[in-house]
Amino acid sequence: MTRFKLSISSEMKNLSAISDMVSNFAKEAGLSDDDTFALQMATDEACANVIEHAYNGRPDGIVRIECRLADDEVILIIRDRGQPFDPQSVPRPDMTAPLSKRHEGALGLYLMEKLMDVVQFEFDPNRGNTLIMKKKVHLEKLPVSAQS
Amino acid sequence: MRSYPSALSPDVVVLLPEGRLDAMASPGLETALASLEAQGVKQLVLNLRETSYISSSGLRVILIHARRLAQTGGGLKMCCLADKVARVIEIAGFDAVLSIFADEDSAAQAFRKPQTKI
Repeated sequence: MTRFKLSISSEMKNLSAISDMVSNFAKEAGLSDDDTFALQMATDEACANVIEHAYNGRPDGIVRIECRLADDEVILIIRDRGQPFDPQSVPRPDMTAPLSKRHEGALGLYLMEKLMDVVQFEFDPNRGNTLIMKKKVHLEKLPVSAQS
Repeated sequence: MRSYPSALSPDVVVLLPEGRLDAMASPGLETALASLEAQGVKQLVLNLRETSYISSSGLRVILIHARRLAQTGGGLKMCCLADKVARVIEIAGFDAVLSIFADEDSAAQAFRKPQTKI
């Protein structure tokens, strides 16, 4: 099973390092460009949300990211110890509104839900926020870890 | 972030962001767009040929400025999108509300013919 983990401080400048980690994971797992893109984007949006909302922009929080390939499914787990996040409190954007009325909020969450099959938020007072995202992927080759 | 007058029309200013337009870089785009707006620029082409990635925070900045410029009788047009950038814009449904062109000259020219959209 291919598995990558990263713990990093809650700073926006770390988003590119997070994206690189997802890219390295995807390469080792043998994922297609399309799936790699979807995972990178969903992780980027999720981590930016954690930094901006859960930690309110404070740079001293920790964001923990785990990528795992199990059979033909990628599981992304993102954990933080910031404020609880309730996805139901976020209205989804109206995709039919014209430019003058298009709301620019909640777009990150919308993109995550479009790109991934499962986007599930959990909050535990002792463990903080846990975001679990899943996506069925098309393996182009055997993951490096499965090659003899 | 580099900006220059369009070769086609001096009233149109081209802004050329580079690299990732993620939550780290978006405040820089916001500053550059606000600064051009403060200089009285009303017709703007955002050339994304050097932009490798755009996230919701970059899209948000573009949407806010496109709306504001449209309200003042000008506009914001985009051109030269990399495949991945185009895909994000499409998923976000922004291709329906923003003007997107294949190249810089077509985008600049469209300010003379506002109905033409590629």
